[in-house]
Amino acid sequence: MLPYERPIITRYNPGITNKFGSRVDYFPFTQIDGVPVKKLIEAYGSPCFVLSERTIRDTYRNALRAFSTRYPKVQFAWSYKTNYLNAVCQVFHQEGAWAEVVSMFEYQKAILNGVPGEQILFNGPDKTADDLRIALQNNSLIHIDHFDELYLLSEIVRDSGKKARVAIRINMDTGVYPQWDRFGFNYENETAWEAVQKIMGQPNMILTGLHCHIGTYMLSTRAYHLAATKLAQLALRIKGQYGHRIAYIDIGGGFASGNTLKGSYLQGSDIIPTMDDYAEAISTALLGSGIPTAELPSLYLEAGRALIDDAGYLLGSVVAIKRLSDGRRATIMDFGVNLLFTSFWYDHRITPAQEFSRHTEDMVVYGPLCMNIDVVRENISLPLLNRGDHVVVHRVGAYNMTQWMQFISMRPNVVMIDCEGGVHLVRARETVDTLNQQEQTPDHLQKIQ
Amino acid sequence: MHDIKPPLQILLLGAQNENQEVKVNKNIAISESGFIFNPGTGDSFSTNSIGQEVIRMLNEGKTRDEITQGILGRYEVEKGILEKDLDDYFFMLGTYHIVHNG
Ligand SMILES: Cc1ncc(COP(=O)(O)O)c(C=O)c1O
Repeated sequence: MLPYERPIITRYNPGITNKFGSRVDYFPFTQIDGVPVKKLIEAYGSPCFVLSERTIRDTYRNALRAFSTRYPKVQFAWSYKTNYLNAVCQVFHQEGAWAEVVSMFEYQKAILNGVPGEQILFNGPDKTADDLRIALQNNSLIHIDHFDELYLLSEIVRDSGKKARVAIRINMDTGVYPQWDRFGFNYENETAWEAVQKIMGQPNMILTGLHCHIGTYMLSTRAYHLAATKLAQLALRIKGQYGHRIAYIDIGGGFASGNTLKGSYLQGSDIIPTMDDYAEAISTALLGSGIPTAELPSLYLEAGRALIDDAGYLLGSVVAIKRLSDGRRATIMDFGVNLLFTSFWYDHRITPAQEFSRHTEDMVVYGPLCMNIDVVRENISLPLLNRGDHVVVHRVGAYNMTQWMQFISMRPNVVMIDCEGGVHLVRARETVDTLNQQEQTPDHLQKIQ
Repeated sequence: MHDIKPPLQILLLGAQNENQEVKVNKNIAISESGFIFNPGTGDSFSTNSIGQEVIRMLNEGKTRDEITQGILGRYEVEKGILEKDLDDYFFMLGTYHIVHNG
């Protein structure tokens, strides 16, 4: 008996740019770091997130190399919100990264992971008085976002008798629009300078750093060059006016990962700048800023997606194959936007995990939620899939394991493959008990009758 | 309110009726490699080898039932799955004006 393949027919559309993208994978993706996808699904279920420790380390080391071969003092701080699974954070901390957090919850995670308080950068617009007290107590770097926070902190330091190490977040025009001006103090209209003056007038605050985070998935290295130049100019102005040396310039994150943005005809991996490109733009700006070599500030970086996206995979299975009313093929997977939040931004690459023939079909890929928004890919060309087939979604390490929704179904297992090929469960799947344990039902509602 | 016009699928479902004959339209050209050309519309298509077999059997005047049996006898596939896949294939052949109900 011959192996069966479903009969298909595909129409050629000569001359029309193919919205399904011409590039399809020619080989199945059967293993991750030597571990068969099939085995992973057998052991941990479908869907299941898989993280590659080797890829995290390699990506980190490449980024560190790119910056530290160009600039004398470089420090990365792992941006917790991107992926705050402890196992992931620890890989970065073992590699030497500090922690960048934006809430007390993330702050506590960093402390529990063993990060020394003075190696935590505390960002975000919503720090409570208690949060600030704890950060002050631990000598963390407090990145002030707005004047209300500045005043609040100044009251807290006055009462505590301690000195706060602070930075200000600065927003600016870097030629990228829309401008991210809702965070921090504006550079061009002198609000940032006003904040500097206020902090310099506070005996219990030490203005240690200048921070910016100019956007995310930034394709322009020139924007970083401009940002670094403006922060360096501000550091020089502070030096000139107050004789005070700024210890660090924090350029934030925003470096693009190899994912393809929705609506882009070009593959992300073909158009994004490399870490070396970003590093070159930023280092040349700082080195050429006029700050004397001996006084160059440290360069802090909070890269998120660029350091973790590639290391994350989502394994899933085909639930059903359908034909829509307009004749389009639809494939329903056992994962949707509940697990793959980033499918709102990206056209994620999806590869079958088993052998396939050379024939492909254009299709929509839906998730299993009973909702119209649950679209994983609006148009994709994939080999013929059957119910039960496995697929691998690539570059899902950033933001999905933090922004995933517990909606209709439970969050699945997350495993990490270590550098020797050992597989570790790093977050167990949720069950009905996980949810029920948070709930309390009043006595009179305990029974239906 | 219901749409009183019978949707395309319903009309084409007739083509999937086991007793009704489905015929390949005149002038449809099929190459060895599964390339299909419809000179009437100017459209071209490609089909996989099992798809080619189905069209060949249609050209030989085989009925839907004979085609099903022919494939079941040669390929590793359950009848239920094959029926579903053939329904879909015939639906697409109709949509692309490659076949019509005889
Ligand atoms: C202050 C700050 N730093 C770093 C990051 C990480 O950004 P990305 O993942 O784009 O590198 C973010 C993300 O929103 C952020 O808000």
